[in-house]
Amino acid sequence: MSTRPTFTYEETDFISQDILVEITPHFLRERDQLVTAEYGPFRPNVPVVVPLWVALALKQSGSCTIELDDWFKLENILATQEREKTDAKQLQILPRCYVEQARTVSKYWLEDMPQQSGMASSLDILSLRKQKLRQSFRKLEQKLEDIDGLGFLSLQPEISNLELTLIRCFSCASMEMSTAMFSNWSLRVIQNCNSLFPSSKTPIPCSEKM
Amino acid sequence: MSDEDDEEEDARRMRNLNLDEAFEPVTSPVMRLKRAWVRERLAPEMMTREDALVEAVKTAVEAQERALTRRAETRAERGGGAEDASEKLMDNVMWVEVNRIKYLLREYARTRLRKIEAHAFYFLRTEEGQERLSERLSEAEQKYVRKYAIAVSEHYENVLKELPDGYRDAVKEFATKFATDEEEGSAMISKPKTDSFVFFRFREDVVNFVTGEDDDGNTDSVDLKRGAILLAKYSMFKDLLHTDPPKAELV
Repeated sequence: MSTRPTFTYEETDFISQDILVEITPHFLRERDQLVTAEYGPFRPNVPVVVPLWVALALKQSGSCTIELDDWFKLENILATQEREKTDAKQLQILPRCYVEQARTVSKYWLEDMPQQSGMASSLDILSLRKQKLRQSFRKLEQKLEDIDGLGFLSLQPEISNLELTLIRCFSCASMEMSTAMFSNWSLRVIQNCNSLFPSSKTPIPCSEKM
Repeated sequence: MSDEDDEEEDARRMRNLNLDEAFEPVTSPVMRLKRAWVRERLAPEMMTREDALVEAVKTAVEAQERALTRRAETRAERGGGAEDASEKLMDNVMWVEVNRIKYLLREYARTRLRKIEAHAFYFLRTEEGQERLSERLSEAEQKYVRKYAIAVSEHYENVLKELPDGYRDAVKEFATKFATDEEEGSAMISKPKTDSFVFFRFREDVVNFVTGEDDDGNTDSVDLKRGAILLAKYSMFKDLLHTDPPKAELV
């Protein structure tokens, strides 16, 4: 098995910090031209949209408060958590970088957040989703797939960046291994063995959505 | 009422799938370089070097650094005031941005170098590799490959001279009269695995994309939807990564 290049937590944080968030600045400043784009004007108590890393940099000098996105507000996140629990298969719609956002906001804006359980709920949601992903991989293992035939698996589009990073090493390596095992040559060997020792399992084409 | 709800739901779903530019600004060269870095990191083979992007970003960063240093000097001369306090605040933010961009530039270079080092002999000793070398690597990277290969060969010569005859070559697995020239020449050369599995996400609908052809000439094709995520061999959808604008991306 080859070692797969995947991202570390610091790198996923770096990647996710370009998403736009709404902040309330506590200072006055006209528009400023940064390398990537122009931001501002900044007026006290007037919300403005900036990337998350700008919000973090301003926060460190105490110059702004962050407005929570809709999905992170307590009632919404508890509702999402409930839906994750009741729906055993489908992942709920959440922003692609929801874990990184939740972690960053909870780490740096803890005192501004109305209640802390938003963070606990988002961790709970992450473990529920990881469990669903694990289940779908387990289902895959139970069918002998003719992966060489179709050649790909589809995942739910609601999956987030961090979840993909978490499953990347394992899923890519195991797909490579099973492709190698179920190449035409080895399939013929297995089929010959099956005819000598009949078993109840039969190969099924791999086309089901996970 | 329900139509409006559906539309709102769709709009929110699209925004959350992060394919819309509004969610993360992607127009600037820095954002495009970030996407190039992610692609380079996740792809098993070398991508074409984004020379123009890297130069544009480097120039912009250097100009910004000079501007920030000048502003700091002017502020020191002025001696402080309310206007200076907010300027200093924004300058801190700008320095953070400069550091982020420099990190991105270094990461891009590091990722490419790591792949070059892993496949140095592939680039120099195989025909396919030599094509890739001239297409996708910059002049400086090509020089680096050659020097690296020489350094590694010299190192191996020093280490391998203790082994029996036939096992001393850096790239040949063993020299035997039974092996063919091709096997002898490339047995130990590490090639990029274009059949390794990666995650693709599709930015556009693609209808009837041909995924494979069997011996009878029958083709398998698949309809791809915008936002779909597939775990597939890199070689299957790699052409969609290079269309302009890209129809697929690696996640």
